[in-house]
Amino acid sequence: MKKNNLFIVCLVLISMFSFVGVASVSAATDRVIDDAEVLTKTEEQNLEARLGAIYSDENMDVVLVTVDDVSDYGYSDVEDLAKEFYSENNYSSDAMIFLVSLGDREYWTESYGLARQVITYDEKEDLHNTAQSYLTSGDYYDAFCEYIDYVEDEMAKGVEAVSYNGEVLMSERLKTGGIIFVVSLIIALIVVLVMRSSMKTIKSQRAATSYIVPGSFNLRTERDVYLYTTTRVIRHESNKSSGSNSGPSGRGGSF
Amino acid sequence: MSVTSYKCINCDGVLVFDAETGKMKCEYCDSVFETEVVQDYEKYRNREEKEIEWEKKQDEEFEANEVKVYLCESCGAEIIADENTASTQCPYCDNVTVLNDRLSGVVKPDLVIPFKVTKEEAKAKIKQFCNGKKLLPTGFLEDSKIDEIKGMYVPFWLFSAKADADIVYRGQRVTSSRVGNTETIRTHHYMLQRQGGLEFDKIPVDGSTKIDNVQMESIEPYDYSEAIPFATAYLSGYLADKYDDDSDNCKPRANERITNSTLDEFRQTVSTYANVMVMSKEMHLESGDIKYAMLPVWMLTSKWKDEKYLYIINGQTGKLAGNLPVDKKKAFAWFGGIALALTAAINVIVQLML
Repeated sequence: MKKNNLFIVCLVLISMFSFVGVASVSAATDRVIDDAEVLTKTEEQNLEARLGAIYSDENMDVVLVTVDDVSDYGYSDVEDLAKEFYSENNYSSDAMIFLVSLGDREYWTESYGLARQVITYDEKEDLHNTAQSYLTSGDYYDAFCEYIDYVEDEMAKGVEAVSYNGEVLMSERLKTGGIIFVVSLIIALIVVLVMRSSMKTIKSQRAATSYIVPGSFNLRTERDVYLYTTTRVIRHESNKSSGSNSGPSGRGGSF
Repeated sequence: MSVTSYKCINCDGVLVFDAETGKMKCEYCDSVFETEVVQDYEKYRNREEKEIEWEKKQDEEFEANEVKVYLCESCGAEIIADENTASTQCPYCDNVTVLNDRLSGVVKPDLVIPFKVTKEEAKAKIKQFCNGKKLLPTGFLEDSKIDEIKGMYVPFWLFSAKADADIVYRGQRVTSSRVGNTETIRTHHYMLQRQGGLEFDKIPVDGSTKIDNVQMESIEPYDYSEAIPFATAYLSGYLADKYDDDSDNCKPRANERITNSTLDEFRQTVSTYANVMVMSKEMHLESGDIKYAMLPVWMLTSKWKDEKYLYIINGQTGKLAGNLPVDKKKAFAWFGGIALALTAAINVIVQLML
């Protein structure tokens, strides 16, 4: 029994740690990747500090990336490279990637999780209009500042509107964890009931099928009499496409 | 003068004869029926079900000094043994039995199926059954005194008959068609009559009140091709229970199984219809025959926490039936362990997916 207890304690610990894992998915790596070297060290630090604050407040990674040319990374367009940045780095499930390619003079914003819900496709249009004039004039630091300002404003508005603040996020994750736990309990119950049923082999016989003399069944009369018909008419509503809030996850442009 | 009124097949409203169409019409739902169909339907609507009847069996009793009868003072079981076999313990409750001098009314069985499964094979079956049962209390098998397993002939009534049935069903066939957004579903209602018969051979119902019918049914079937006329010599080395539930008391169980099997067989003949329901049925038996038989059973009674657990093995085929005790602590540990392991595993998978 002691072995069993130890086993259960281990499982409890593993289970608890796995919950912790879900609750804080990742600690971000750098949020300013200036491969094109258009920012000074101080500017980079300022931006990092602001993006760190967003992560602390909203649990969301906002990532700014500059590259000389997307082809240097083996890609043909900014969208693919932005997506690659997200998948290759350990960013939060709620994140925004703003990638600027100087050689192509193109940019792309890709959003994930809550960021996708809070900052919609139309809002990205505003976002780009805000930052684009700075990008065109080569003032990348101000473009990024404008971008961050806009994200902060929209997040604040979005959080109020959709109630996606930190508490809601945590409750969402706890809810997910709770669902997983309940599903596990149900599966465990089914397994134990199956184990239990294998210990009971006493069953009543409903019929006497084993004792029917083979070939003895004979049908003398088979009479099917039509009685009446009832009719039911159903009018189906024409299918209208239901609204969805899952629009494109990214948007980009040239400067 | 009595006036015959007919009810609507669809809504039970009053039907009136429509002289214009020559048909019966419902005043409430406007359904229209052929007059012959209504008369035909009425015949089966209120048909009373008859009891299945069996012919009375003539009993033959054991002669004096042919067998000994032991009485269990605890559960009241009357155990029969041949002159050379002594019964010291009751196979049902493990209590001490005493020799009963009264040997009156002990009916001689018609048939017996001799034991084919040996004691060692029966013990191995029980061990095999307990093997790998994770929820079995530790030490249960060791405490089960498996060596005390007893071979016993259990009294059975074997019911054989030709069942003749006249079953009337209501059934439906549904068709549908769609034009644009309008779907039309038509349900055609039918009355389905099936008449026929089938033969049953030796449906067993145990004649001992000490054993639950359900327990004995769990080790069915027996192969009656190996049944032979009873001779006292077959009791040698084994015990036999004297029946205390006569064939009249056992008939309802046999009738129930015959009825269910007959309905199952007939039901297959209307399988092309939907929502089939039995409207009325009439069954009777021909050549109903009841035989008294001794069928071989290995029995083991185990005690665990003041509860008795009876294991029975078909002494001809080796089929085992019994309910093992469940260790609640083990069940809870497995439940918790599986739940936690799954929670951890699913969480890890979710984490990897995010």
